[in-house]
Amino acid sequence: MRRITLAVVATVAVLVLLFSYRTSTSGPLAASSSPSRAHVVSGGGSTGATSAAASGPPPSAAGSGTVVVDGNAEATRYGPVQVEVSIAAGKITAVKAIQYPTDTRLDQEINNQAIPVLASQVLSAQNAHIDGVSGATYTTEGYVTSLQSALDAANFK
Amino acid sequence: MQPPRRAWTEMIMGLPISIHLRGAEAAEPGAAAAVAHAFAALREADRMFSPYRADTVLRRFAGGEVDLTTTPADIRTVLALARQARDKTAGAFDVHASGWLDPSGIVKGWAAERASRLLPADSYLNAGGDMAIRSPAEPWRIGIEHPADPTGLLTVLRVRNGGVATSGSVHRGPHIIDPTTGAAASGIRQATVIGTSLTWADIWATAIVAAGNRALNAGSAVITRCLADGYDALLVSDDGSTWITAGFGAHIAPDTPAPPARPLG
Repeated sequence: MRRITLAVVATVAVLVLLFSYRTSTSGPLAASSSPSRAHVVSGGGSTGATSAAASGPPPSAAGSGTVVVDGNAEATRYGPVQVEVSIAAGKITAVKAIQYPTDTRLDQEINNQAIPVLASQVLSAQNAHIDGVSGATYTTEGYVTSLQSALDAANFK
Repeated sequence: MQPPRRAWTEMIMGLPISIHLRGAEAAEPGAAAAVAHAFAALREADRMFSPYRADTVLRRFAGGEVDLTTTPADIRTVLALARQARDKTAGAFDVHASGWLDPSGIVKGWAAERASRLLPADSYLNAGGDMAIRSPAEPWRIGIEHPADPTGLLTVLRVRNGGVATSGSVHRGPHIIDPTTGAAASGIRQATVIGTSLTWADIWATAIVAAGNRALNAGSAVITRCLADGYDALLVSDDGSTWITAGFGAHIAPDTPAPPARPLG
């Protein structure tokens, strides 16, 4: 069951870091920015990051100067996961999972608790503008949820 | 316009290894070849030193079947490093800590550092959290993972050249043996060491975790020797406290709040 949460974290982390990268490349995203430049990458696979997919619907304005972008729904082992990112003045202000597995009570418990917490933790890393992460030796499983895997995916060739 | 960035990732030695390139060289056709060369060097080290492969030269060496004078140069290098590490750390790092010859604690850092030298000048190689970093100008910003929260950061460093290694028990459970007791080390949840060589940053980080609570004492032998070797450390002890050596603060990015820390050494 824990793996559901892990897939969500990886997806959120990748999104956040990728937007951070785009933002620093192109300057602050304004409401008029083209959504097609905002690629969404999922890192939910067990061997780390998987390939990129273009973002789905165009961003919608929510309040003054805030852009909301929905990621594609990414298939995970336990069901589709989709996140929504809000950007204001070039900074991510919120990350919300809008679709995630809720089939069982345990799914619901895990995700209701984990998603808000994880989103806020990832935001702190985004504000730090990092290029890489040093951590105690991670194995394949730990890597999937690591910030390093998100950075790798953001620059993956 | 930000200079180009590219990244590659492979699993080698059971570790996720990523290589990041930045700047004009990252966009050149030769970049991919240099990266492939670096990954090949890591796979070669894995073949030679894998403790899981009974046919490696090392196993035969450990079994007394191989004469040191006819041993491949890389194995002689690593065994010489192992002896130096035991002496420099006053026994806190010992490839025989688990009761048999296991040089894997040296091989990872050594192989990663060697492979990183094959990369363009603005690059980093991250081998499972241990990093060899190079830049001609702009430092790379390196987050130090928080041991209580792998999606958060303890602090951020600015590093132009050198190695940053982090050891601990976050992702694998306790796996560092205190050579002086033969039991699993305790007292240090995570140790990050920075200095010129990734090989030695990794050795010192492992030695500090192995020394455990002893490393936190004023005038600790392992910290004194680490500092004398030119390496600085940031530790998180089992109670969650953060400890730093006097020189470590100079590596912390100025726009990042330094973690509240107790003095080490």
